[in-house]
Amino acid sequence: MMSLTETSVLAVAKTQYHYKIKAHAGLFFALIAVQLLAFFFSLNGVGSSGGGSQGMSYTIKYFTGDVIIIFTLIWAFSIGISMANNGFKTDFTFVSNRLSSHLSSLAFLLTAAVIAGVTATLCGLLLRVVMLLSHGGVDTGPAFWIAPPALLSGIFAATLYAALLSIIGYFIGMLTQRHPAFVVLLPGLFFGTLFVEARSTGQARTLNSAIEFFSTEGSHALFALKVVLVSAIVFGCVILFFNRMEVRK
Amino acid sequence: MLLDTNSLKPIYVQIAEWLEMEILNGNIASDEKIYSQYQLADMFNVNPATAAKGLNILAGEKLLYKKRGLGMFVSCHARAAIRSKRIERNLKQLVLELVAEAKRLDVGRDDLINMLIAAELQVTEEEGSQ
Amino acid sequence: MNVVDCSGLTKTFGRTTAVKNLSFTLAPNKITGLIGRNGAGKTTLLKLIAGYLLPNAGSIQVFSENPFNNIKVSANMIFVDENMVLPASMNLGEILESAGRFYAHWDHKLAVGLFTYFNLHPGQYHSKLSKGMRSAFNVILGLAAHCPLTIFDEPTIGMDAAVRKDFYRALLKDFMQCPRTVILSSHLLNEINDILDDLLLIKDGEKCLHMPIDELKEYAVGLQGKEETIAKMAEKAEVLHRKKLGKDSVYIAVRNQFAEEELHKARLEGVAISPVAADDLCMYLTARNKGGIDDVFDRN
Repeated sequence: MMSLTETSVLAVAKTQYHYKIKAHAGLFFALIAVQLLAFFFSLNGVGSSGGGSQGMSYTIKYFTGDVIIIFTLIWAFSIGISMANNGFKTDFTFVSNRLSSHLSSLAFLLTAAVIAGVTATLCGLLLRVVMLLSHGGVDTGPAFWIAPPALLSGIFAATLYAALLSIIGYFIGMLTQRHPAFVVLLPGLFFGTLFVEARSTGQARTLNSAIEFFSTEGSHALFALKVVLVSAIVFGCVILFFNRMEVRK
Repeated sequence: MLLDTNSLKPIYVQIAEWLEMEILNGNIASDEKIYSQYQLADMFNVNPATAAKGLNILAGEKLLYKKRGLGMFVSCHARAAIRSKRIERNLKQLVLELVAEAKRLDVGRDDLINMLIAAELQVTEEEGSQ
Repeated sequence: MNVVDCSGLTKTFGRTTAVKNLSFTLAPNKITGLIGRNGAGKTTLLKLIAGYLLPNAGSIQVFSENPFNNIKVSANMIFVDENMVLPASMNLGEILESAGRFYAHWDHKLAVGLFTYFNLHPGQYHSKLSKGMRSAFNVILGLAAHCPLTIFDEPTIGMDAAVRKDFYRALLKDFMQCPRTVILSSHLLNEINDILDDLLLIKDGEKCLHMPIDELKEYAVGLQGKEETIAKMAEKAEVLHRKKLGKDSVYIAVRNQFAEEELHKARLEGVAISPVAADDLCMYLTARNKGGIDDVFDRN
């Protein structure tokens, strides 16, 4: 008989990772499109106020890269879902098991998160430059210039957020793979909670506290630790719950 | 050469018979190497195990002999043995069926013999004209 | 060592039992034809072997391991069917290149040779191919992967007769150069008959027949003649199929349990003896009633 090939999950996951990068290159074009869209939205500013007295008037416009970040995070979330829905089907055409499929997906999502984090931050930077040039502002003041360490920490934070959201997306995608009812159930649960809380307390407490858990963290190291821990727990659940799922194409 | 898949004969028997014909009409001489199972499988588009079974029939009748590592070769008495086997099995069977059909159609013995003579002449003529 | 070893294998989906108490083994380096009607459980069985599905009862071993979610089994197996999911963003050339990285014995020369022969172009996209061409591409993957266990589940869907013929011949030639265990499911038994070693026939998820294909030809025989003569012969053998012809003539397909002399005697009594084509035999064996479709019309 032909000699049997001995292989390891990691070796297969590595091959799958390269395959996934090639196969899902289109998702990165989507990222560019999403960020461009967010960029143009941001050109109008997020708010303005103004006033005037004695024949003089002024307007203050607020510009921020937040929209770019938010759009990028939505993209990250959706590629997580799409990886869970389509990634494994292409995996099992060739050599795969569940673990190698999850690991290669994770590697792909982390790569995507880094790219998303870098491009989103740079996009925000571009927005500043465009604002400066288009408004002919000469007085830039010291706050305009972002020091390289701050820029790096911006990239770092954006990357971590993107990674977290894509992994959550992956988990949710896997849930819907397990049972199609989740397609209805999960959004129902999410918006239902928002609605009920908004009616009773006037604000979305659960969501807010989830966001605050990360965003109010002052220390970079602690913030990173929080994101990594939560991501690890979610991904651990993926492996735990979805490692013995049947393959149905 | 194509196999007759509608024949009652299994494929490997047809292959064995084809090989016998090759030996009988001198295409493969005594002590010459006969086709391998893979060559036969390729020629007839059949599974190599089926082809091997055909070869094994001939080997079982000692029409072929094995040389270790070299393959199968035609025995020196193969031609004569095939001839007598064919007379014994095929020809006699055909004659038997011929006679039975003649009976069914009420053809008398003399008429049948005349038909045989006519047929013999026809075959000789056809061979001569070729 | 057997490549596949099933015992009491059962798989249910909800209330339907797709595979029922199947036990068989597949020896290495043979081409086995998996034959059965639509819905007989062929695909489910193959997916159990491939390790995509978990059995409800019984056991299955592939290369002496449980195939489910098993990376070693997966690395030594390829499953070709019409639903092979391939990335829409990669062209055929890129897919071939990527597929090759997964398999240790990948034969790129063969892949490219077949690719050109079947008139495929590296720049084409899988989703844009016609059904027949897509099947052709899928079987190229299956052949070139040179996996110790190669599974083709109805691989010729949509192919025209010439391409089917070419595929079977390519399979046979490649099999001889690189012997391996092949499972080929189809309902066109006549086409694949000659290249098979063994036949595994299943009906309603159960094993119906598992034997070398060479023996299948001797398994049954068709008898045609006067009703009383045939009736006498039918007593001695299991009747698989019966069909009335003309006034007092009848055709039956029976298990061939007759001695050579008995058949010879029957022939002299005017019974026409014919082989039962493998295809017909499988149809008779898997039929739900002996008279076939005629019964529906003869009722009134």
